[in-house]
Amino acid sequence: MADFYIELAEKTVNIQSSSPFAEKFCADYLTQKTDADIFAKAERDEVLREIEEAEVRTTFDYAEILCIYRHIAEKLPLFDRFVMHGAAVKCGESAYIFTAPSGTGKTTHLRLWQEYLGDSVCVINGDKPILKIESDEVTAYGTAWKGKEGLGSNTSAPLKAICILKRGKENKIYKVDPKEYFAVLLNQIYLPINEEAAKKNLELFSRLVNLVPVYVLECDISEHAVKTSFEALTGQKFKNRGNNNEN
Amino acid sequence: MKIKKGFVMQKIGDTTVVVSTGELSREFHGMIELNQTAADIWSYFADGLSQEEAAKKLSEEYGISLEKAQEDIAKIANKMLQAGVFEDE
Repeated sequence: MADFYIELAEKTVNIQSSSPFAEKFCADYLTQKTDADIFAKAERDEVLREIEEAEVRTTFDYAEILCIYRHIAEKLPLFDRFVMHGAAVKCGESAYIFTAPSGTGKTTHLRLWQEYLGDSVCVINGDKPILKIESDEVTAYGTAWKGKEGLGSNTSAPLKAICILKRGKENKIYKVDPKEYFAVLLNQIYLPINEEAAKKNLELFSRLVNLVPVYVLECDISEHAVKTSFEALTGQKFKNRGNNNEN
Repeated sequence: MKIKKGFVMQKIGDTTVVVSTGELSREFHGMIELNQTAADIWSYFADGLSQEEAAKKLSEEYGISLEKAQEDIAKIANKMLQAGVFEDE
């Protein structure tokens, strides 16, 4: 059994797991602190259920860490934080999150940003970043849980825009009234089972859409798609700085 | 008419949304959007008022006739029923 502490979005989490895998998985987030804000442990039954319900074949160890993250996500709203399904990138000192139902192409768009913007872009988390909402500022944090592609790093930045991704034939981006997209956005949030925490999470969501502009990006998988989202979200002029630009 | 356990309501700007959580989210997906009146009516039912009591309260709070209130309540209650919000009797 492993018993260790990690720091996630500036909160200390005590994790107990049945195998040493979890500690290795969380290697970038281990901390010496021992005054835990959150305690997370998955019961064996729950892990077995996770394996049974998983769409792809999953090992016990991996299913266990997924359950552990769910336990953490369950508690986070009580600390003004929550998990959002999306890909968060850092560019300069700002963070942007691309969100969409699985399979739309978040990871593809993320990879395009990396390809065409090179080292000026850093992936915070490609799958399930944590958002902190405190004193009228939203911050996106990396976490050890990075989805199947494993994209992400232990970093954070103020969140400047939420971008809902749609597949399109043309590349265009427009700012929207978040009200029109509540259902889409709420679907990308892990809502706690506990009612009090769920209520708190909705309050945080309400503050999020009040503080951060929401855009819809319709895009293909070209350089122009990157130019379209980059210029609208960052307000900067796009310049191909990727490794592919050798001329 | 009792609302199922597990719905959570939140006002966001001028919209009120209701989502399901816990066990309920396995059977109830998506989000319900309510305007101010519907949100108030939802709250009456959530507080355990009967349809008749809810109509009385609505007519008092909105200063409308009892008949009009009964109509509004029936309309919203029917929508809630269709949406599967109430527990089976």
